[in-house]
Amino acid sequence: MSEEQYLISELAEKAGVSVRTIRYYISEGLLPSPDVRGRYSYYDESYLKRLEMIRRLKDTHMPIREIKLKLDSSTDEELEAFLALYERTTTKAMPALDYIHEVQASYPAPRSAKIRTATPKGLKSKEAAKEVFQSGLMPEELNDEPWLRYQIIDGVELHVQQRVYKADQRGFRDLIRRIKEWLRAA
Amino acid sequence: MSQKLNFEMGFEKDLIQKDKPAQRILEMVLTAPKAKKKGSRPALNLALVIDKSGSMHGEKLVYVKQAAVHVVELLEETDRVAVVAYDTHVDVVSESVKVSPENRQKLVSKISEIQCGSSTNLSGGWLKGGELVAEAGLGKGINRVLLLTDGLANHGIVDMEELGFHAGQLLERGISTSTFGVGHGFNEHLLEYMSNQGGGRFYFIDKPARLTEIFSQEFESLASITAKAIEVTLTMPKGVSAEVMGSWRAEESGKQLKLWMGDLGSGLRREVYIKLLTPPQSGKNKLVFSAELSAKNADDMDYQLTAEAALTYAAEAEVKAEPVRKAVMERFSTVEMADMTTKALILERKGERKKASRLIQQSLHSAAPYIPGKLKQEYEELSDRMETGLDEATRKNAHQVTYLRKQRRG
Repeated sequence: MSEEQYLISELAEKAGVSVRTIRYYISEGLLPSPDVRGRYSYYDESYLKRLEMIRRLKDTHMPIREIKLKLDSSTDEELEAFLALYERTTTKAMPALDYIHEVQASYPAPRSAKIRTATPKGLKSKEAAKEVFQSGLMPEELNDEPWLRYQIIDGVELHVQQRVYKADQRGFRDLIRRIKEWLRAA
Repeated sequence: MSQKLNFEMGFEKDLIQKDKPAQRILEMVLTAPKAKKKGSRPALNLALVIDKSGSMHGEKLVYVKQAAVHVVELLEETDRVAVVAYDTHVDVVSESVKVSPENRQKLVSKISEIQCGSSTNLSGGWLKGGELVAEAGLGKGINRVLLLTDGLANHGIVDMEELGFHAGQLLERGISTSTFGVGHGFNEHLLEYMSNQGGGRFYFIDKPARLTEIFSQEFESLASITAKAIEVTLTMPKGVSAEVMGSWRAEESGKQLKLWMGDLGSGLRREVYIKLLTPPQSGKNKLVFSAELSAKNADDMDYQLTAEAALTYAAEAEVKAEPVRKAVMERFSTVEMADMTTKALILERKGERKKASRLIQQSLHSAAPYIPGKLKQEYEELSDRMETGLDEATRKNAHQVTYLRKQRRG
């Protein structure tokens, strides 16, 4: 079974870098010298893997010199672990959906004019609740703490006190995602 | 056939004096590759975000619904669309669905049911649109939120800088934003800023009856994209300061200047100008500017391109004798005039009419040799009218014209 072999132009095309960049990496020792047969140099699959690793390390703003040291001194597992740690903690790596949820959470949804039918928290009896609704007060206006309304899908909302939400933002976002999935499947 | 952009850089003159600082114009020209085969286009993952606040009542909402239905009819089964309507409250008219014949019918009927409400939670509607696009999965196609409004954002996030910042963050995470302003009551600077930061395009719709045409225009431009998420990082030599013209999103960090240039349709050109101030000679004979461009091709594969341009130090006589590349200066001058006019429009809106008028006069004076007569006349008229104050229609029209000119958009 022979492994795929590429010319420098093919390798460049596949890896999404310029031929110049590949030559530069070789001159800097980030890539080993290729197999030369006659007039041409041939590059195998391992070059693709290494170029991908270099790209990911470059994304962490590591200078070329350090990338070489890192590549020379780490096993594949160590490199993966390092990159996973970086990719998890930088804000850039936070995908679009999580980013949007973060922004939405910092701006509570405005109140609607509709009267809720659930008994608001803090009221002792149905009579008291009836009185509140008749007075036109909205449940959130009863206690001083702000509430967040998150519309899950049309007709289904999560209503949670801001303090509670902020205590476990990730947990609530996860909950919201699961409720959505459950509603879709139902 | 290459699926990559063509990327070139050059100056209006290549020589600079040894003993004095100089202003030079760096022109970047990007040409998008032609679409691979006729009939193939990227899959679209869109959210239509529609303002249904009180002011949209009547004709405007009728035309918006018509335009939205038209877009739904242009989309195919490989595309996805979500529809959000917002006033004070944000309503998901439709979750993101594939545009199959069955779904198309449902979408059309849901869109026709949109009713007017009260205030304008623009940020809420826009973020919801982004959320639906993100949930649908950011795969190989184009992910974009189309945000329409006729008024001022007065609920949720209302600060222009903040909205623009979030639009930029979404762009970096794969979702672009185009903005559509209908009528005369919206904030054109806010909408333009969001689209600049968000990698999309801004549209001014003077007459609601033109909404369908404008939405079609955006659809066509999306369908023809062959280069997406274009970013250019320019490494500048020591001592050079740069100003990016045209309101393109740009960030400087140390010697590097990063520009975001959005997406580009088949065969189209993007021309971006950077005004440079170069120092007198100290050591090197040349000032070398190198740029690295990254973009995704039609198959959603990342690729990089490089380009380089250099300025050479020379004696005064030699520099003066070197001819200017007239075509470059002409293109740059229209961009610079448009940039200055945008600033003047902001001043005029704030009530600083004399200052606004003078800014246009001064800019015309320095751009004089390269501005054609007719254009000069147009700007002079605008400058005159600014002294007594502009009406809203004129402001909006002038803003739209200068936006298209400064970004060299067709």
